[in-house]
Amino acid sequence: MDMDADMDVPMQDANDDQLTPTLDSGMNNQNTSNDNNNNNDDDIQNNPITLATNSNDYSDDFKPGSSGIADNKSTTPMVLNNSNINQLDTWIEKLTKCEILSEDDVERLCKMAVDVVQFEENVQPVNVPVTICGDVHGQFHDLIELFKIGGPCPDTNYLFMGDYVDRGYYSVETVSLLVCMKVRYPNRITILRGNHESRQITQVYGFYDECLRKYGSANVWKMFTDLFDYFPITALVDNKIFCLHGGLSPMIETVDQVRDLNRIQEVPHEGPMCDLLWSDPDDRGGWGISPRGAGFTFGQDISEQFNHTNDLSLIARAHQLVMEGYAWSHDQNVVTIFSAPNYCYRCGNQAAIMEVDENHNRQFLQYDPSVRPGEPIVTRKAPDYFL
Amino acid sequence: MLPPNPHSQPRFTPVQQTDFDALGCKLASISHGYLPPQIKDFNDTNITSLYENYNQLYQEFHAHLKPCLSRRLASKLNTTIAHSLPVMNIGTYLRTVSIDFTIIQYIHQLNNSPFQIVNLGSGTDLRAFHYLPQYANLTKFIDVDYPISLDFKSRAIDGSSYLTSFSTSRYSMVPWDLSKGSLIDILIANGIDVAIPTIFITECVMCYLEDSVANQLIQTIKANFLHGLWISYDPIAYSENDRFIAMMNSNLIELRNLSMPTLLKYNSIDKYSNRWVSVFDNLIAYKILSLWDFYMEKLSNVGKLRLKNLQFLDEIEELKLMQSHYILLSIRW
Repeated sequence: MDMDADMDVPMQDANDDQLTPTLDSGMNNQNTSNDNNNNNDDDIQNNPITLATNSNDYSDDFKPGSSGIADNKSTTPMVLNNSNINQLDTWIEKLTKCEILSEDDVERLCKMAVDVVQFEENVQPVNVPVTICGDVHGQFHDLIELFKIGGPCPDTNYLFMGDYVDRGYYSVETVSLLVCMKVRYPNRITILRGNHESRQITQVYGFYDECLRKYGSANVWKMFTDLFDYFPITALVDNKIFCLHGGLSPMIETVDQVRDLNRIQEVPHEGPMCDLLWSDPDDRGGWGISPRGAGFTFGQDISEQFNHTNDLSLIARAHQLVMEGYAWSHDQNVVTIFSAPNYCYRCGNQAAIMEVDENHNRQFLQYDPSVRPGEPIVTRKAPDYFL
Repeated sequence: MLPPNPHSQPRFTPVQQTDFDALGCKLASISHGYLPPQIKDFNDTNITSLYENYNQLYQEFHAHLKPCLSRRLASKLNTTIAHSLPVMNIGTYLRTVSIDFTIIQYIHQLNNSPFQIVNLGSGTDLRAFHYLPQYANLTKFIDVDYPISLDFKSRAIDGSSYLTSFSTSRYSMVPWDLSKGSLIDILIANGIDVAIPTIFITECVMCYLEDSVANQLIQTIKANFLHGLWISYDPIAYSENDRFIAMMNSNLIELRNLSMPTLLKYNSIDKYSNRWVSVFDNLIAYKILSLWDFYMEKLSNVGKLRLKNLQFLDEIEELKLMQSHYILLSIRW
């Protein structure tokens, strides 16, 4: 008899009892294979306190490209036909109910998606009207709320600026749905890469563990992270609004210099591509060392110069939690948009999206967390606090 | 001693369960290399000597705790250790070192004269075992907590000859429910001298107490101890409708049946500290700062970089939001 069964609620989705992350997988012999329904016995035996191994080490199995989704890339963009439209519509319907696709279907989806996004540009052109969105972070029910507020895709055009996975409990469903929509409506939705669309970050922040938990192996994680390498890194709305996840780079003065980058790779630890996904605007002028340890901070002088040089009206970016869901900075040269309400189920923030109409008028729509209907309370775990 | 039986474990109340959160966080911070602190972490103060045996103490404690744990508890603890995120690990580091930082500053001012420490609501905290070997003038260290919590703790300690070697006559565990009347008599019965400067620690304790119980505790200690230092670590709200704290309250009540009765009442730094300041008319000094302030002011740039690089800290805003909502108060009288 389990006398302290009230210690924490029984959970399937929200629980991460079962599996160890790779960061310390060299340090113990926990079973990370398929028996994720029967976890308790193994867990008790292990986990001595040990220093984590260097997170840069990963086995050959984790190398970029190992999923094989990009082994037979097409030389021309994917063409939709009745058969794959039906397939995609079925998947979207299933995912909208917060049900995951099978591993085989994820593989099919990722192969199709490679043949869509590989042909997009580093600076993907986007037309108005468009609704620009920030971080989602696996908060699936709030993404559904976003589509209710902003209008369904493809009736509304969307531009997402990255960070679909990690932190929330439904990264798999969230990224699967957005990728499905991208393949189904390639000209109606643009999905950029965020700093969390990376192999290393997802091993710390939850997407890797979630894939293991929901699929019993790392295969789906490998497929998606291989796909992330092909995501465009910036977008340009009507040649006027430069959109990206993080911010500017001291190595990039013009939008054309972004076009010259080789983006098809894991997010590097430094350099222009890293900066575009990691940097933040700051009150201090000039370039500064980022408190995050990657990218830079950039001041109003930098933003003004960049917008002037490139004939831009605005830099729209995501990446930072802002309590009202959006925040202007640098005298309205930069806007931060954050679309994960009550981030991590803990922060109490509002979320926002920015509508840009045919005349370049901007309107922010703010929203609160969805009540998560249909999600039984037993699947919820209290977020971590210092207790 | 009877062999421990995991299935005979009694139920822990929601408040008592928070000790396992704190322990799990601490073990995670050790496991990922945040704790113990390193000399280079600080600008001006060296507290590393306190942590000489830190890893071994907690490793030993965790090893001997395992036979006392139910499967679910053991699994929960392992999950926390393996999956704890950088914001939690850094927060645990800050909470731990900020308290020790403040205690050490006080001890240095005592010039080797005798002092005592009472850790109220200590739970599984092993501070006693860092401090006792370091300070010969530490005449008594008492851990006070619910009987069930200390029983659990002593079973793990008793199982280890390494840990019991720290448990000298200067150390006592006093099983006591803080809401149940005169604490002083039982402290005196366990060797506390009210005339000697005494350090009281309430680390995430006041927030769980009913207002009247908390205020009574403050008055009792003021009325009985001539000199001392009180260190209190708690979450804090900054307004009646502070969004982070409102969410925390509803998450903890809804999902863990855990309530923090005074959190929205003392909804500013002034209101929080005034609970002590208004009582201690012989106050020498008090200081209150958020853990974010501690992070910004006390940690060196090298230290901040060390903490960030242990895992990928990706969100400074989240760290700031969370750490701004925890404070450390020190009252000296």
